[in-house]
Amino acid sequence: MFELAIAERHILGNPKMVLFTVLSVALAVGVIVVLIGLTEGYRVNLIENTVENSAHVTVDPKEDEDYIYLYRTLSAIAEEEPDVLAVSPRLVGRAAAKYKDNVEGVTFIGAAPVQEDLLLRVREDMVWGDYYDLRFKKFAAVVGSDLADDLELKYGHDFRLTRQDVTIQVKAVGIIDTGASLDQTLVYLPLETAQDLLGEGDVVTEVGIRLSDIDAAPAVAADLNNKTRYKAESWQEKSRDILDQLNSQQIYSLIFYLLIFIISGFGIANTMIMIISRRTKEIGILMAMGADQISIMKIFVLESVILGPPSALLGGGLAYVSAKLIGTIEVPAEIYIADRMTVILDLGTFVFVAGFALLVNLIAGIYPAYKASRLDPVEAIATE
Amino acid sequence: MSYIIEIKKLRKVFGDGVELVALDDVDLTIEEGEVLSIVGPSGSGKSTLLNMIGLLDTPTSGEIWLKGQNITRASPGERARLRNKELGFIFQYHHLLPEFDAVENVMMPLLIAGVDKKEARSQAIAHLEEVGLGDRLKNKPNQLSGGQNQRVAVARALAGHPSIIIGDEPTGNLDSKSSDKIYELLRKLNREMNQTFILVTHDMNMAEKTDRILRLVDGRIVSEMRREGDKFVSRDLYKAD
Repeated sequence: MFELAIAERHILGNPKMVLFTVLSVALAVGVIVVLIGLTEGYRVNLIENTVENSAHVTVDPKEDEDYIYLYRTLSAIAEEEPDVLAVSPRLVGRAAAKYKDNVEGVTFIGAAPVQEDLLLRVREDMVWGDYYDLRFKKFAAVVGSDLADDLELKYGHDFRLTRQDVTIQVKAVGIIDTGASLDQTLVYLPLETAQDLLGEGDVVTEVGIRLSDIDAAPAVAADLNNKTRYKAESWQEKSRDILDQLNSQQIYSLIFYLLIFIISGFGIANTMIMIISRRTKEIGILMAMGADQISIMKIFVLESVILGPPSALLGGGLAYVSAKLIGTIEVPAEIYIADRMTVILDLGTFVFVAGFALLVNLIAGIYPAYKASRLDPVEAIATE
Repeated sequence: MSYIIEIKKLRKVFGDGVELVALDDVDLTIEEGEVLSIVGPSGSGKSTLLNMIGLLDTPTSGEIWLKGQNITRASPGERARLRNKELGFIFQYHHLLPEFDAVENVMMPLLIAGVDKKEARSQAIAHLEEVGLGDRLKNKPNQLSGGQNQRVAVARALAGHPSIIIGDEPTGNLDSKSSDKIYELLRKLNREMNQTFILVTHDMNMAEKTDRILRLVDGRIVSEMRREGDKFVSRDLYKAD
């Protein structure tokens, strides 16, 4: 097919133009694939984080109270629910930690170590020491790894916790790394120690429940709500807001991706128009030799289409490299839910995005090609 | 007598604001195998007439007949087909495709016609040898002189053995030696293949080597000279007013 021969020769003879078109498509593909990967990665991290580091059902105090006073009774009721693996009454609060000259805001969790470990598998995430030490030592604490770094606190050293007018001194008997942003603020205490810090007596702020079947959580929460005046919520309900937000965000993202494609399409169309206007004379000569309008159009459509697949592949390569690089950056807790961003690369996504890019490429090239085929041969040949 | 080209009352008007009458009711017949030149001052309509015959442009009114067929209102696709099969063009500038070498440039009309690649290549080589460039097959236009490029253009015009070769100032850019060479070539081909040649030229030297000279002024044929032996006999066709 002579059209193909001409298209090929045009491409080979114009490396700069080719580079420009290829980069434009590759960047569009690469950027979009990475963005989709980041969004998916965030969603996965969020869900993992929520599920792994949260109780399946959380019971909060009664509506008119700040704390749960009769937590033992409540725990007993909770333990009667079907599929319950663990029930852990917890006292969660905010305080300031001071070590030498370093001060940081912390979130302290007071709980009975055995129950808490059944609830959230605390001991699995320990990097120094044993969480169970908190059973026998009253003034012992387990500190989040990032918090320990920020305080420059070493394992085995004492530090102070202050809340309002209460200060206690505790020893760091363990360091924990949950992999979540909680590591920047977490201090585990024995329940009694936390209660001393709070100063409200023998109370807790919530009761956490772990089930053998996570999907049973909504039913268990509903049952507890019926049986008691406490407020029970399943993790599904707690995270609904976030998941809903993620979903609505997706629509904005789609619009954004579409815009990227459109802009890339304009770039390609522009390049094709430039290429064709430089070849006006040549088009006239080809017509003089008897090439018809369809052939002329074919030549330029081929030019924009041939470059499509290699560009898409390059885009895929760029996405892959970027994803790896992004995964090495440490991010602060304010921006992201884990300490490293995950980019999930999916072959299906790449194929879809690449296909779209090729489509944009084709459409962008068609109009200039059409105009080229409609040139008047006499005028075309006479072009300077 | 059937003519290869017949033109009846051909009229071409340009522009919708200020009208320019480029061709003013021209009548013309051309026989097969003629070597015809069209001369005249700038703006006389020579190139316009050539573009009509070459099916590159359409007339405003009048008729064009090619080999006994009225092709005045042929579709763009049909015109393209006729240009490919029946016509060969030589322009003042060679207009070769810069990214292709000599053989590939000459092959192009054949490939457009759908000729098999191998066959097209061997025909192209034959034509290039005819014009004396058998040793320059792989040269691209930027590796050849002006005269050589024009000869490649002639070879390309010959590809497919069209019945009519049209030249618009084919030697306009060349020095006299190259011009002579080209002209001898065209004459030789005319003798051998009986192809019809229609040339527009400013060069009266070249015009006087053809068999028939038409003089165009203001879109009309004002005089015609036919060769008789070594001399030209003129016929006044139009009394200028």
